[in-house]
Amino acid sequence: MFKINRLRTEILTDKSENIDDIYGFDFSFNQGLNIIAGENSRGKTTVNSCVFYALGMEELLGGHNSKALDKALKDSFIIKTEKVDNSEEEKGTTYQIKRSKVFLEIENNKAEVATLERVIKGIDNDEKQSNVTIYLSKLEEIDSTIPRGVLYVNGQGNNDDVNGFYAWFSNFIGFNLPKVSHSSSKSHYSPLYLQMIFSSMLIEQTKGWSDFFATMPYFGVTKPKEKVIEFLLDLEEINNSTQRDTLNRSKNEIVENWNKSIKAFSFLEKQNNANITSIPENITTEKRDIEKISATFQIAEEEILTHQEYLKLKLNEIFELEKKPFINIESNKDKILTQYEENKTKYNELKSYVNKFESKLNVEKLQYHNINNQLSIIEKEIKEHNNLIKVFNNDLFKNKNEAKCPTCTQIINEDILSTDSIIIPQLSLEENKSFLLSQKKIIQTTIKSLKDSIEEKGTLLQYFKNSLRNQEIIIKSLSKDLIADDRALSESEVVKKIQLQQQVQNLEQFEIQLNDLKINLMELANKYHNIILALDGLEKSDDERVLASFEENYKNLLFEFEYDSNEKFQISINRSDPFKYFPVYKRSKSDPNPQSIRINSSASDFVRNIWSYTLALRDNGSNHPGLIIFDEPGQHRTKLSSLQALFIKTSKITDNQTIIFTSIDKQLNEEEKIDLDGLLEVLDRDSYHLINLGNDKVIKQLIF
Amino acid sequence: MINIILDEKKTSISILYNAYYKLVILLAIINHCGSKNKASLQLIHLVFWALRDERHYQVLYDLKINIRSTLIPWSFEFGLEKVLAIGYIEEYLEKKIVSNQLEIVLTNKGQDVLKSINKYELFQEEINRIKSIGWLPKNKLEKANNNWKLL
Repeated sequence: MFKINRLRTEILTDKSENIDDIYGFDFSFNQGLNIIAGENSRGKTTVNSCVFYALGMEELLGGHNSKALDKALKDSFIIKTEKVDNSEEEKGTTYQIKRSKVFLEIENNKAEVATLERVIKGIDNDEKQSNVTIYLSKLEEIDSTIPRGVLYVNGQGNNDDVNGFYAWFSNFIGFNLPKVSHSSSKSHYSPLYLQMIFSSMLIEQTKGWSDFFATMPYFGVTKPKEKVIEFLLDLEEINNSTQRDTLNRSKNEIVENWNKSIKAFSFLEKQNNANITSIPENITTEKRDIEKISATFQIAEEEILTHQEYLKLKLNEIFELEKKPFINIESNKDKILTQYEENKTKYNELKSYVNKFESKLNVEKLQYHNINNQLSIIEKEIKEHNNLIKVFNNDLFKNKNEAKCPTCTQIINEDILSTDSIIIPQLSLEENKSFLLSQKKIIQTTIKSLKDSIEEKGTLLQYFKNSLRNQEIIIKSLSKDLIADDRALSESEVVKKIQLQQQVQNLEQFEIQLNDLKINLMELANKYHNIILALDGLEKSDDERVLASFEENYKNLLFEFEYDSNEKFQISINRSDPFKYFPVYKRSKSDPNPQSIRINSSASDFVRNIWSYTLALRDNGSNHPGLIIFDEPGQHRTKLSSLQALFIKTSKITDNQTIIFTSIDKQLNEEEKIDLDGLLEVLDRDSYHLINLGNDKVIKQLIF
Repeated sequence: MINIILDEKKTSISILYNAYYKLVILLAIINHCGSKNKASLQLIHLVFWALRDERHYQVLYDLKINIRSTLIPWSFEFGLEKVLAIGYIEEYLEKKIVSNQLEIVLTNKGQDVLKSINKYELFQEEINRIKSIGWLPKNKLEKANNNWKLL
């Protein structure tokens, strides 16, 4: 757990007379409820975004590095000098920012204090926005402290590398982040990213109130929201589910291997012109089903033989041939002639089949080649996308977004396809990169199956060609017999015998291969059986008790905040998909179709949902970081009394820190306006810490 | 009342149509293929054309190493005017008239960007391809351009 003690920004401007002439703001925070109140556009959001930025959480605001921040922190700001009459117009001096930084002092529950320093606008390239400097001391003491280190925020491994900021930060708040399933990581696992967890506790104004964990960035973690809740509530399910995923992954691998083996049967079948029967369609653990697999050979339209029978037949044929005395051609001429005709027709049929087969295979080979070319083009595109993203992340083109023609002030952007009259909506670099990555995946799968199919067909082609060769030899010897001297011995008989012997050898080999495949299936079935046992044996957990208490707390809070879209009994926390761990609406307790709470609540009631859900997660979550920030919780015509209830509730939570940013001149609904005094009159004076920005802009000259 | 909202469907566009990608390549072309950090529009268009296709590249490379003295019909680079506009506005590039011909000059700021791109080792493949073409003398280009061959 941790809390924020102090936030300070320091800005050096073009009008700073010396390096001590610094602008910015400096606020202290207390344990318990902190209220930052101010009129509109006084800089509440600026203060809030500085907290996000210092904690390396600017991704939740929708950008990397200082892109997520207001221009008053990185470009220029105005300090008003006078107000012209009573009009709204303000006169002021514009200050150009030369350098700006944010400092944040935080403290964990072991009373260890750390100060984080992060550059917003650096003077040169060495002052990088993607680095956070850490001092293990209070903010006022950092000048006399040696920094603990400079850690990086944006970049690969920022959550588990020793030099990654989040690795240090999670250690500081006492987190042991679990490994969770990841859809694209090579190892299939990644840490549960800290930025994901923080989206459950830092609710920002524009997007934060639109859904539960609406600002959660995408990292490729499977079922990200569920994982965060499991972690916060310390449910055993998070470890079980990782184990389950591992087991399921091995299970899928086994099934895949099983299917490959089944394919191998059909391959063997074609190679030997056999018919393998009783192959189980799906994976089975029944030994008998595997043993039943057997082969038959069709030798005539109506005649089917088993492997043994066929082998015996062939052996008999050899035996018969051996028994017969060598015959000369004359006595056999008619037979040789018919045989020659028959074989010739068979040969021609087979030949045209093989030609067709080969040309089809060549088409596939061409396809394979083309798709491979396409893959290398996509890979190159992805590489260049990565390069360009790095260029922007490191801000190598300074002020990129503000490219404006100095003469006609037209904005020039990176889109060169659109014209004045036709705008082509395009994916952003990041979006396009993910699109290309998924395309790459599809192509890789296609390539893999094409490759398998080409290999298999190649072997078959070889087999066909061998059969053709054998036929050719027989035809050749038959034709030789036909033109040879009638008194000579028949050569075709000898060739026939040799080929019969070859067939017998092949049949014996076939049996060995068939048995090998069956043994392989048995092994897979054993492994499958063990995995099923392991999956069944995953321990039953105590999670239900935790979830029940979380649910009760959430519902109590919800109705304390005057939720009235539905009855209390109709609301529950769902235990299974869809909306697993999230509130749902059910018409009655036994309703089998839970519906989204968002659709079934009014807009302001949905905001109440986010209040109660966020607070309940902290109350019941033994892994919660402790801090909650609400930016402008009075959304969508919330009643003043509900807002008061929220303030009362949070002011009573003294062992954690809650920071609420609120406007004081905002129209809540037709009848009510947020009035600071009215809001605070229901609270005990010493139960909160108030930072009133009033009518002033937040950035001022800092006095040392 | 039923409110119908039409969502725009975004398209995936090749990075070759991204002005900033082109800008990086443009800066590299002027730096490596121009003389004293300036290059004519003709040269810029020609190198862009060469980078578009392996076959084109071979033609220009052969010209460079004197295996051939002609060019095949080549075409202008799409959208280069917008890229140049960004370059002028952001002061990476400047226009200069040298002996009655417009030349694009790489400014110090532009060179700094290129340096930092090299420091981060980005776009090295493309930049190395541009480097291997290197400086192309004007008269050689002029001659080759007056002498197009189909192959």
